Amino acid sequence: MRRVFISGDMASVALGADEVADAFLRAGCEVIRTGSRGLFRIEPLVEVETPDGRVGFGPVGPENVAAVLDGTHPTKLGDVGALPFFASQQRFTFARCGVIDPLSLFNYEAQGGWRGLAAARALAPSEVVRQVKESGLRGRGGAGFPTGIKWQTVLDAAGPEKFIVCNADEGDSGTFADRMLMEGDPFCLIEGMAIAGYAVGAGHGYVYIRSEYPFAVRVMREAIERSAEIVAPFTLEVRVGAGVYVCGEETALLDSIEGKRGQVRAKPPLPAHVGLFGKPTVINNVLSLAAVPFILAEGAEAYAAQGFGRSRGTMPVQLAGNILNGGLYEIGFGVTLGELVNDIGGGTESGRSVRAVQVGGPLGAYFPPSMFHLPFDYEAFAAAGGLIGHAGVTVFDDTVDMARMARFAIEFCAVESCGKCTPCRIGSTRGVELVDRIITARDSPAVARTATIARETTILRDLCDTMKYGSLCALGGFTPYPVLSALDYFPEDFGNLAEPLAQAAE
Amino acid sequence: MGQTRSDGQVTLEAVYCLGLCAIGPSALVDGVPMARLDLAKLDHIVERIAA
Repeated sequence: MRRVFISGDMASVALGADEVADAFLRAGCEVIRTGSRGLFRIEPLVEVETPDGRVGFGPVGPENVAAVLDGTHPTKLGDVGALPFFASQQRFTFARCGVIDPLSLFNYEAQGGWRGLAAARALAPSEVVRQVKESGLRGRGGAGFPTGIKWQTVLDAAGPEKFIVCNADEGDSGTFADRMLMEGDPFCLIEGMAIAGYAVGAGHGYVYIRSEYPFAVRVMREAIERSAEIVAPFTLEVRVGAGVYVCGEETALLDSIEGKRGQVRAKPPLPAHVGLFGKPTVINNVLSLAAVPFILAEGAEAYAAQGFGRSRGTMPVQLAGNILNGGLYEIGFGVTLGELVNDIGGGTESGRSVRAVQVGGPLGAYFPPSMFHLPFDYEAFAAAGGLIGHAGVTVFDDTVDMARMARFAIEFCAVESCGKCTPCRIGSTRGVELVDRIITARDSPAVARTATIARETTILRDLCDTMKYGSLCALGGFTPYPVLSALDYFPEDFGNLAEPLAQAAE
Repeated sequence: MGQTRSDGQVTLEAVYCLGLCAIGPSALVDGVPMARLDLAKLDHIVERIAA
């Protein structure tokens, strides 16, 4: 019997992987469903087991079974791991994703799984925390706060009951690394949470997954059940969100788990002191926790050896939007934005020139190609008026209207605001109105439009300042990033340059 | 958006992100993800719902 590997990842299924898998089953093959390798241009991807290793074909349709099995199908890729897109990566966190059966404990252990947990249990809890500190790991959800210091705070907090909470409410548009990891290597996240529990003295953990990720919910629940004996006495459960972006904010997420409406809490107190149900709580992103098994198994130095400046280790970058090689690319910090978009990403899928790149989800800044020298690094992006966030990189070609993108950013804030603080609740709605007036004036032939645009733009900038410094959390606080960067880098789209508009009118 | 067809068979809901952003536009139809949507694929979905 021939054995083939086909991804069961939600993205692969959305591209037809289930139909392909059914066709191979009907042809008498043994089909192993894996996670996704992470390059969607070659999905649905089929890898056929041979004496010389796996041979990949992609994209493949259900009608291609015979040609794939006799090796003649024209989309033959050979060894998928040797393709430049994969060979140039540094897969610390995603080493197994796309390769193994995600729910096979045998596969996980055979590929180095549980070594980090075993190493942690051989150390004192404070020593585990020290390892995480020395790795330089910072919060991969976007804030970039040192994970080890967060853990130390919870370890030092008094109390018989503490919690580990995994933030898997990956709401940022343009990101999908959390989803891919949970679907493709769930035991890696479980191992990271068990290590966190051991390190800080927490007995129970929650994985808070957004409702838009039904595949991840299913895989995580099954993986938790299968690995219960291994991580015991630590226990875990999945909680499913209800479609609210702000519940990705850590304190709103805690309220949601507690059964309340997801609203942001004022800080202090920090969740590390007064967290879930008022107990000391570690709350980390999926990618932060999933990086921990590597750090414990291979050593903090091995992780910290990669990176740039104060950004140590690797980042699973997500290439999305109008880009040829859309997918997941894990690499050490320091790679430039231009390398990611042009060299690795292959430029736009439409074949037109790149005009703007939004980094860090709906709250990230829009950068033009003149900023492509920026190294992927928390500090470098902050200094340039942006953020790397959850490392989603969304590409737009030269047909994009940046005033419309600014409107989308602030409208998103208006829709998703939890309503607790005024700058975000009211400011976002006033901001939509301002951008609308600017766009109306821009598209109008009236002579007075320049004065209108100048006036409304001044008010919009002032409003952004209020939102940035007056909002309770990053939703209202970071919405100014896409708005201001669009204004700063693409003023012509806001009617601030008379000449290009006059030309456009001719 | 946000409305139901008069026969009650189809409701359209907006969702900001399905985590399929590299292969958009995408949709979730009765729990089944679908990517790279175009008019032909949408017609196919409507046919499946009718059947």
